Amino acid sequence: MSKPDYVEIVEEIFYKTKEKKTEEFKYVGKDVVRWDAISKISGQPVYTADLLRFIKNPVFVYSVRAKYAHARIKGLDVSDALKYPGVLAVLTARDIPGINDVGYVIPDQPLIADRKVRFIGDTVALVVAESLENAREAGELVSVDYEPLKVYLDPLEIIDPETLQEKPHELIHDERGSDILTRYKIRVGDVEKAFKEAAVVVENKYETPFQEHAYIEPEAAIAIPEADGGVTIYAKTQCPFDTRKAVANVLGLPFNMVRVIAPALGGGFGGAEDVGNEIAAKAALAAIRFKRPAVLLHTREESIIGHTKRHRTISWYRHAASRDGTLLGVEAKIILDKGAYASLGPFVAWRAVVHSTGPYKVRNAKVDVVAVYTNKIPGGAFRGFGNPQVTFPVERQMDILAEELGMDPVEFRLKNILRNGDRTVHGQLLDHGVGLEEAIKKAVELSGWYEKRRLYASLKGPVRRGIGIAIFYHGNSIGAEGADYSSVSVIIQRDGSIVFRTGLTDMGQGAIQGLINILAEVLGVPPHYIKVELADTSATPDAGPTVASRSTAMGGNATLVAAYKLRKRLDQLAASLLGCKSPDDVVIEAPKVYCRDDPSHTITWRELVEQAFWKGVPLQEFGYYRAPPAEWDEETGTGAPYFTYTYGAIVSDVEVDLETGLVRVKEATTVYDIGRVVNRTGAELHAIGGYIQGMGYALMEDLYYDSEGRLLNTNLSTYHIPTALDTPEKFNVYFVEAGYYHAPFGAKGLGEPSIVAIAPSIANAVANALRSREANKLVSKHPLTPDYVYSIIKKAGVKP
Amino acid sequence: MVKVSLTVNGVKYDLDVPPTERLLDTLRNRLGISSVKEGCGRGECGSCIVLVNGNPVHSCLTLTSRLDGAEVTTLEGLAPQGKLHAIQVAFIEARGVQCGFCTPGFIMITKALLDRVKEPSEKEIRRWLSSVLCRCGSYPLYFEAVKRAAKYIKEGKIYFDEKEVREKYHLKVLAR
Amino acid sequence: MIVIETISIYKPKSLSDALEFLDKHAPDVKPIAGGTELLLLIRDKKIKPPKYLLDLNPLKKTLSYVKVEGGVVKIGALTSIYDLSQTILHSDKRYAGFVDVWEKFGTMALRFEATIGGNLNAATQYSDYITLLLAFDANVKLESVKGVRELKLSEYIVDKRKTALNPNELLVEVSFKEPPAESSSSFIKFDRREILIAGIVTEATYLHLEDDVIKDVRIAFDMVSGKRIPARAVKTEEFLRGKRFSSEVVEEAAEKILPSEMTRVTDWWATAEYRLEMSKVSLKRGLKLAYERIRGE
Ligand SMILES: Cc1cc2nc3c(=O)[nH]c(=O)nc-3n(C[C@H](O)[C@H](O)[C@H](O)COP(=O)(O)OP(=O)(O)OC[C@H]3O[C@@H](n4cnc5c(N)ncnc54)[C@H](O)[C@@H]3O)c2cc1C
Ligand code: FES
Ligand code: FES
Repeated sequence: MSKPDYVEIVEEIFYKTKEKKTEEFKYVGKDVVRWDAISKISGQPVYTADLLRFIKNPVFVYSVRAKYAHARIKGLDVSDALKYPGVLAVLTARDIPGINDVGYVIPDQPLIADRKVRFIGDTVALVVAESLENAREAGELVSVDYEPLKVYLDPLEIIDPETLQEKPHELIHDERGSDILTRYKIRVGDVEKAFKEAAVVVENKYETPFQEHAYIEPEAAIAIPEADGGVTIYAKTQCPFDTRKAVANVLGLPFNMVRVIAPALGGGFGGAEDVGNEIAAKAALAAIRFKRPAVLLHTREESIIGHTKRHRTISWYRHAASRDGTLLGVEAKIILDKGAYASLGPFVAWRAVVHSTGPYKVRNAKVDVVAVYTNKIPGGAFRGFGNPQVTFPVERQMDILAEELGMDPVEFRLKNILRNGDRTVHGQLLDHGVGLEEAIKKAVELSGWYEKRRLYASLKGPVRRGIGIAIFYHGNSIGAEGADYSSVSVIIQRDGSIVFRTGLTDMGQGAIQGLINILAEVLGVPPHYIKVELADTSATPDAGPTVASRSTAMGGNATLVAAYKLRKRLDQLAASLLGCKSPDDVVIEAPKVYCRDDPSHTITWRELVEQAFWKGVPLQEFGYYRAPPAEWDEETGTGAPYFTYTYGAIVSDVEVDLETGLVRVKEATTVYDIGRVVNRTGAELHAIGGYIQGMGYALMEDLYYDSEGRLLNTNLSTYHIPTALDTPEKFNVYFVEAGYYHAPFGAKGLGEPSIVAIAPSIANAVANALRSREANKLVSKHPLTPDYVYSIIKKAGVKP
Repeated sequence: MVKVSLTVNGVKYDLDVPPTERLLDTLRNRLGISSVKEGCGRGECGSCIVLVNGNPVHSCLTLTSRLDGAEVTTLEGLAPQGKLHAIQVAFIEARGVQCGFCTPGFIMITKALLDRVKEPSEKEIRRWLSSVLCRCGSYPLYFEAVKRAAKYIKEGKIYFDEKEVREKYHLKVLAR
Repeated sequence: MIVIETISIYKPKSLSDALEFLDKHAPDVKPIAGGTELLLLIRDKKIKPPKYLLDLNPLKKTLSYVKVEGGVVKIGALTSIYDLSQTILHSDKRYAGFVDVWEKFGTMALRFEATIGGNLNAATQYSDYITLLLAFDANVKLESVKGVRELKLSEYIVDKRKTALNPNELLVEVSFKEPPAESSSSFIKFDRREILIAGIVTEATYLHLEDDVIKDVRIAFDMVSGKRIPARAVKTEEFLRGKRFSSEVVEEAAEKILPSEMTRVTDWWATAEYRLEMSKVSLKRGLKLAYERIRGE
């Protein structure tokens, strides 16, 4: 079977440029100023809520939320709310024309609760009013008759950690008959034998917290009714095509009657997936009903209560190693605290199981991942998507093993890591760019690892220093989660300017810039010729979801394919116009176009485009790319789950105050193998921004519930995220470029990878600072809040 | 309703506002100023910071009814029509803009800082910039932007032609 | 029919006008200074919305100042936290505790709006200037149409969000005796992050030495026992007074005496045990810092 043309194109370009240094490209790997930088620094209206100023006569939609975390709804009385001034309607589940469900992966989540509420963020009614204030005030008057049920906040009340069997309890999802959402496993080799033969066995329980995305822009949606009975929605959503599907289902409309446009997003990080669908559907319901634009704006509190979080996990890890430091086997049980609804949980759990043994050569493994419903805010997508939750225990285990073996953590890792030609635990052959070893060595060098390890070991006094490393790998794109395709369209206008369209969104991460750079590089035009259109389900091609670090590799491939085809046609035409020896001799350096051997004889880019127009050479191209199908055997956890992996090594240098338990990061070193740097500014911002977000996850971020399941920290003074004053003094950022042949110029993703190993590197640094074998084992969860670190110091008897 | 006369970015407005209307809402909803963002409505995120009589304030915690006679400056009013302020240019050059939702707040607090301290130390920059939260984590690049802006202002380069800035920077390769 | 209550705002022409308005409409009036506390209380529905807001901004001209008169340091109630930093309180080592509070107060921008009077009237455990000013043994000056009265700050703060302020009164000034040359102060506050924090514990120290003998000392914490408002650690102070300053004495005060008078509470943020331990550490650090400042170290 021959390869599809798009695969051939991507490979051809990869091999042609494989040896080319990134510095030698014109736009790829350069600091190109973002397409939207100037509009953003001048405060132009680019986010959803800003568009309100262009809307006339809107209605406002407010979600009335549950008063209980788990209760049956026996009745609902909206009569008082309806009497409130300015109120147009109070919509309940009965008012949904289509299907009352917005579950992302499985249909387990009503848009408006009808029978039951399962967490405090559940919507029980929508108030539609002339002003937001009126809608909110009236919301207080909606009275619901609840029958409270037992609230489950701890997954261990529902599942037995020994047997991983469900315990008898009052079901949260009675309609499903079980509160176990999914199970995944790996069964490879002979684990029992491995542990029998081991010289060292290390065993520990780990916990990772919920994490709130805390994007600074709260959710907003504006729905505008269309004359044909359809609706156009501007909304904070990462995945407009998924949002369209959700809205169409709720409204009972065909997809083509629902148009979703994603304006600039003030951050997403995975959080703007489910909630984007929900707010869009709520606004659309009101817009259709009242034939007026409908606006939904979340406050910060509504945002925190109303959107999914990174899943909390509890895990038990057991590692076996031989005396010489070779990893022999891994056994692990990982429980995901799912919260009330599935959201993307099944995929998160799957990514967790895939990455559960880390970037190491592991021949014997027995891993179980179980996702268990509770009455908390649902876990969903968050940058890293299950990988940070397993990388933390794995990387802690590595440090404890190294100490038990009397080895340096770096040496121990180097002995066991995956290299080119190795097979992953799933049996996948890594037949291309594995830049992990180089990343580790570079991180060691840039951080001054050996000197600092030595120096810090001799420091005295109450303020200690510590340095720690963590490494990881991260499968690119969605792998076996679903159909993995991407598409873009490129239209050259008659004046030579270019319109670029893709359904991939920008939530701030800037991946689109990488696509612009690729397009410019291949076509030979400066990036400023290109205009990027907003992701719009009616105008931009569906490129799959903007998730899973797939934009650069997958969107980049589609862009490359479109650009390549256009370029071929234009080269052909230019060769005939200029009389070049062959089309391959055509040089496009817009505005100049000439033959390689005669740079003095030129035509302009605009002339070339004009000629193409008259000669019938199509100036528009559609780029499509489909990833090779992933393989996954459910019974053994083997196959080829992702087509490629990003690798990285993080070194954190911290200060620990032994008297208070306070930890501050002083210096951070991040080295990532991203195949090829296509968007340098974006890559560096991820290396830094991902670190800072990971530092928050490591040191300060967690959600706290009271015993009734009400969230206690619902704002940004009680949910701590790092501030300017918490920023490490120094960052060392470096990229390894071990290219991947099925990616644009070899580029792999960095969106999610940039947070995966931050927390364990900080935890390892803290453990290093404590200089105690016992303390090393006690550092088993995060956030490493001062009281937690202080408790370790006391338990382990660490003295200044 | 309270009558207030307010100068916003040099333009005088006579407004009739409810006593508890927030300056944030006046600016965004009445005057159509989009740079002022609401990230929390409670003085925590700093994305709503504007200058009132030269002082940085959270427009989400400020009542318009109290501002009779005040001068308000938002990002839109940092430079005259057709110009961009040195701070804005510095923020482009420092490459820190990601989602950009926090950026107006950072630019306004930088203005307040540089109006008071010509050459702020790293410590001072961090202290002032801690008024605004950036979840994309651009802080170090924003620190750099403040230093660049201070340098421009010291050199007397305060306003830049907007068209020239666009030509020079929009989707252009920056030299390191 | 549901009636929507609206809030009116009154802009007084002078202090006496403000007091008259208060007298006439109390208790349906809430004075508003910076508004950084009050507007959130209204937003979060923690208080019933008042009928009137009394805008104190017009009184800034008369009530924003820091001056030292007749051996007394006087701070006008409407002085903003930022303005405090432009005064002697930030340049004289005796008041160094003011700089410490400032460094950890809200965020930089918030300091332009928040006022000292608003801080004292917020009357919570997290009102850092209460903790600090308790260590300065401050007095508050309250004024109404009937006249002026002075009260000890420690008596003024009655309980969480409860002060001895009568509904027809305004707080106009907070003052304390000018401390002697051989004295200094400090304030300790820390949390998971550097800024925009409540503080796991907060502690303020005022120390007066005479040749290394503790002539006077006052110590305040965000809470000492029972009530969730700042208070003085009186027993600890008594123990320290008259002793020669040494690390042993400080150690004993923190480890033995302080726990005997302190009860901490566990909440979702930190445990009582940890808070007690941190109170000890803060006491030690606070004393040491004040000591070093006196010694010019
Ligand atoms: C994000 C954020 C962070 C914060 N961080 C801190 C912090 O670190 N430390 C800290 O201590 N506080 C902090 N606060 C709380 C608050 O900002 C301070 O308490 C501030 O000093 C209050 O002053 P204000 O002028 O804004 O008070 P307002 O809100 O105007 O008033 C507060 C109360 O005092 C009354 N009042 C005000 N002035 C007078 C007067 N002269 N006479 C009688 N009554 C009066 C008002 O009626 C109201 O009840 C923070 C607040 C926010 C929003
Ligand atoms: S919106 Fe004002 S500080 Fe966040
Ligand atoms: S750039 Fe996104 S919050 Fe700062």
